Amino acid sequence: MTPSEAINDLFKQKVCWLSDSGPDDDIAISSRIRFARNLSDYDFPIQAADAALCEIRDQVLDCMRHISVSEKIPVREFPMDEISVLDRKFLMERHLISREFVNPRNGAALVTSREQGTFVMINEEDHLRIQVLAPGFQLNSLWDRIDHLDDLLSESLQFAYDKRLGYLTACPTNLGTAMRASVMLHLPGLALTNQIETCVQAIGKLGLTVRGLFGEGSKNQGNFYQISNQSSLGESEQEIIRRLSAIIGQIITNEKKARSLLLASKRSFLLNHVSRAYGLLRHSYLISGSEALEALSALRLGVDMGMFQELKIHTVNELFLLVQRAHLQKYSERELDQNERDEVRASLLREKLNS
Amino acid sequence: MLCQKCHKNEATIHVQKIEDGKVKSLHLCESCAAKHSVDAADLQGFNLAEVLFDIAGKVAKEINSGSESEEDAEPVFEEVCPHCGWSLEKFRKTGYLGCPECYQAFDTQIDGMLKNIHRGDHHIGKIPVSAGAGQKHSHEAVLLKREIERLRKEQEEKIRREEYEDAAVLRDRIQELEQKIRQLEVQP
Repeated sequence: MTPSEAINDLFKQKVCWLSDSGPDDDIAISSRIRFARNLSDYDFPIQAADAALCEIRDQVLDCMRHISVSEKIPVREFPMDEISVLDRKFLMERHLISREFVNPRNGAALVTSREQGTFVMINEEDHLRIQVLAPGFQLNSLWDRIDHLDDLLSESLQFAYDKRLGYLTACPTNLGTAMRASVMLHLPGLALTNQIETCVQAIGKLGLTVRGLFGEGSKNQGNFYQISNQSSLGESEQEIIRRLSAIIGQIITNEKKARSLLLASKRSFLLNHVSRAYGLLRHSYLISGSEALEALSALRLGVDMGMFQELKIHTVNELFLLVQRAHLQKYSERELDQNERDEVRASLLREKLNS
Repeated sequence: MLCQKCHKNEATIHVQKIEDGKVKSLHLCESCAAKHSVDAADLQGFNLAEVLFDIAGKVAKEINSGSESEEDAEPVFEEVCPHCGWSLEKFRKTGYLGCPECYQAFDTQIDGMLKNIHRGDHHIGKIPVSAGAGQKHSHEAVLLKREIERLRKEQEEKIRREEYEDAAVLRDRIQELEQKIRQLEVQP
């Protein structure tokens, strides 16, 4: 299978963390853990020579092929230089690669399991960025998975490690466990009751980081907030997860309270907010990306609160992905300019929501 | 110039960035800069690496000279990692290091930064399976330490449930493994 055929296969494949059910998935979209790892015998990607980067890539790919066989996980390989910019953007929209990987350095590659819940970016900021993703709020089960995968990798790869500083990373902000655990939360209730600003500030004070739908530097479109640990040194992985989970549990409780408050005291405001969004999505002929995202956010809230019998939450989750630029172009199998995208987006939404 | 945050102390840290062709400046005192580098809302877009680095550098300098330096000139970071050739100046500009050995080459600077970034300066947590590979004994010790960590957690859980007899069995097992590690470390 060529890389571009493999991309098309991924496009048709359901994304496990959006289509499957998970704990608290009315509010928590997905959980993720990533480990940064580097090979001890090489310079970090920013300084390594092209030949070294290719060697690193080949070693990691080889190792992942063995693991794929022994663990019976079918994987797909994508050397970044062998796929188009559009396909890279598509992978970014699926959260499989970072923004930096759209313009990658030599030797950059992605290996992902076919259901897209386990993947490794090779030669991004660090030699390896090992990641696992799951639907809903379930960091503990993810920890077991990534811990196991990391052990398997470290049986044949020699990771840069220091007794005092832990895993050595290209940037000192990731030292130690080199772990970032995060949960993507959908918080329209806190937004509609004007509590979100206070909540975000409080999270910052607790030493956690809040980001938008697409990680670093992205705005919190559609009321999506990704909460993650900031510090990676000085606490064990389990301790970081425990602390993060406790705070996320509280945010979820507060979001639930906000939603019941809306239902009890601002019923018509809530119904109006959701129903107008539903109307917009079902009857538009041109709709921009951000307009669609905001309307889908309102619709998702309505579905979660039981306002739509026939509509499934997973359908709405998938629409968040499908209405994005690269996905629209994969969907229509051609390049689209902005106007065409707005048109295709509107027709896709009408089709999916009116059927 | 006074600090733009507290309006009390003299601003000693100056950050500049160019946005849409315009130069934006931020002038902070040391304690505000240290505070704000942690919840970086006000510094968004500013080069956090440079801010943290300069704080760390100042602290290190004060320790070395015993007093605050009187020089106002821009310091030059000429040190270079003997292994990969990455310079302190490049680290300051990008926030990245060149290779694992850089951590040793620039340890004074990095140690000063860690407190501003992390909750501690000692790693607690996973140990790679390959740590000590090639030396059979230390590899075994790594695996034993992990097993102990796992047993300790189990022991805590037993105590929490007030199953003290089971907890005592685990305690004995942990002591046994610790003894084994000591033996491994004594052997050459």
